[in-house]
Amino acid sequence: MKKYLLKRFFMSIITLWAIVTITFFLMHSVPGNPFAKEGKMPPTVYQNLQRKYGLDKPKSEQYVIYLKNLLRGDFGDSMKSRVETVNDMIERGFPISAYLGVEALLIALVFGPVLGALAALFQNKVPDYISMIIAIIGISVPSFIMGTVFIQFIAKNVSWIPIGGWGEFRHTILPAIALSLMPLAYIARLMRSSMLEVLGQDYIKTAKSKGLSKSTVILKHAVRNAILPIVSVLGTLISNLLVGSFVIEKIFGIPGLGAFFVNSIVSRDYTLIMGTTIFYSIILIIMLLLVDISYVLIDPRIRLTKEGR
Amino acid sequence: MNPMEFKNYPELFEKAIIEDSDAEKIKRPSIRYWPDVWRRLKQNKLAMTGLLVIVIMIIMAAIGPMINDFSYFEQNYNQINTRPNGEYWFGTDELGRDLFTRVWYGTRYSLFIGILATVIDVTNGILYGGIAGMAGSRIDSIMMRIAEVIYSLPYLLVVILLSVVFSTQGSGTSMFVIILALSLTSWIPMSILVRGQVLQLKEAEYSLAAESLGATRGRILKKHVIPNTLGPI
Repeated sequence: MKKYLLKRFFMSIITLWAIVTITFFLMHSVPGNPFAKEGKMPPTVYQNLQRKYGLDKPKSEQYVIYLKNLLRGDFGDSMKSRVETVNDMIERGFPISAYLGVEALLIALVFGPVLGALAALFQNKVPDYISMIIAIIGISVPSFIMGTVFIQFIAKNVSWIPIGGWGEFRHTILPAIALSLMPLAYIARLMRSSMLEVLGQDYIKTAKSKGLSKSTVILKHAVRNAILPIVSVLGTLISNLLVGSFVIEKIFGIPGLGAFFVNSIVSRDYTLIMGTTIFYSIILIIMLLLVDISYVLIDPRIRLTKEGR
Repeated sequence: MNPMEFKNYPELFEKAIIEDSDAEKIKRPSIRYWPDVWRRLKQNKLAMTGLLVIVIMIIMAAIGPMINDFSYFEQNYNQINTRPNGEYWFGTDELGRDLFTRVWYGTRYSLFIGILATVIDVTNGILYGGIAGMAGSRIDSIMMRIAEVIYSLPYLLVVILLSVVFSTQGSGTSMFVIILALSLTSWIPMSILVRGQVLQLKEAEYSLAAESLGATRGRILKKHVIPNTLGPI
């Protein structure tokens, strides 16, 4: 296992380098520049700006400089914000987005599998219909509609739930629920179909005929075998939740990380694009590694390396 | 009947003739795969409702724009932003165009793009995830790292670049670009899901059985593992 982890660590560095390189050249080949929105400016001002951010140098040189800074953990100055560096922006936004994301994740992880398992156990009966209707609503109603509906019908009527903003726990309730509905519905559907598959297997019959109690059969035999697909999707799901959602954060006025992903690209804020992309990919790489490790923990038959073959 | 009277009916105690071959005979018509799927689908009310909605949408997308007299671009400046009424069934938009026609006209494109993007998604995901999971160790590792790279690239940036690159020949963003952009990264979670399933199922007993019977890994993947992953997909 140690050898495997070490190998994965080196692979991750290569992966990160590939992401940095591709994003860097992709970003520079998209038309437009960071200063296009400032309106017309005298050529000397434009040239000075270019020089300040090192954009006048050849692309390959810019790339080398950027890599060098990156090795020191420095994402550079934002081209749009005068006071904050990219590191500052991520440090400020990430805890907020992550807090909200973890809350939403907990909601989705508690209710999703339970709804899905119930639906499978009572297939084509009332619990199945109820949870699948919830799942359909969660998947097909976009989060911006959910968010505004929550504001209109809950925040406006319940005095202690604020309409938006950030600060205390009560600010997070509505956005976390709105954020959790999609993953919740997705997990519930996945759990249902996976559970149905497992419940028809021979080993469930064996477990039942051994005289095990119903709860033991379900929890120890059915759920453990059915949970694997959910672990698979959790890797991308968690990383997307942690870095925040543009839409939800916009609706509820939350100063999270989500907006940077969109705004940086729209305004061609080169350093911020690189910063957010690298940050996101680090989280993604770690999450996918955790997913691989938990495969082995959940199902010992799974082998990630050739050993033991 | 008195038990003693049985002896008057020796024919009751004749040995029944049972051919061994009869036991093997299939008396009921065997139900093939798709009719069985259809039979079970009909029992599921929720699925049937969904199917009905989709069928209605397809029919309406085909004939909807022709039902009333308005075309999707016809403007009537006296009737801007009206509520649904007898003349304009869904009301009109800010340019006085009939929304009923426009909704169904748009449905055509939405349905087409949605179905095609999903098909691309699923095929790509199954192929990539299946191969990665089945090959295992080094190839798996490399393929999943490539997936990580693609998934990490800023989506918006790639889409902008795509529409810039492809709009030089035509005008604006074509449907091809939209489908390409939609299926560019969305197949990766699918392939991760498939790979996880394949990793689990290739260690299942039936895969071992198939392997010991001499099936190649490609055949095991195609015939045994993939069909069993279809549930979660």
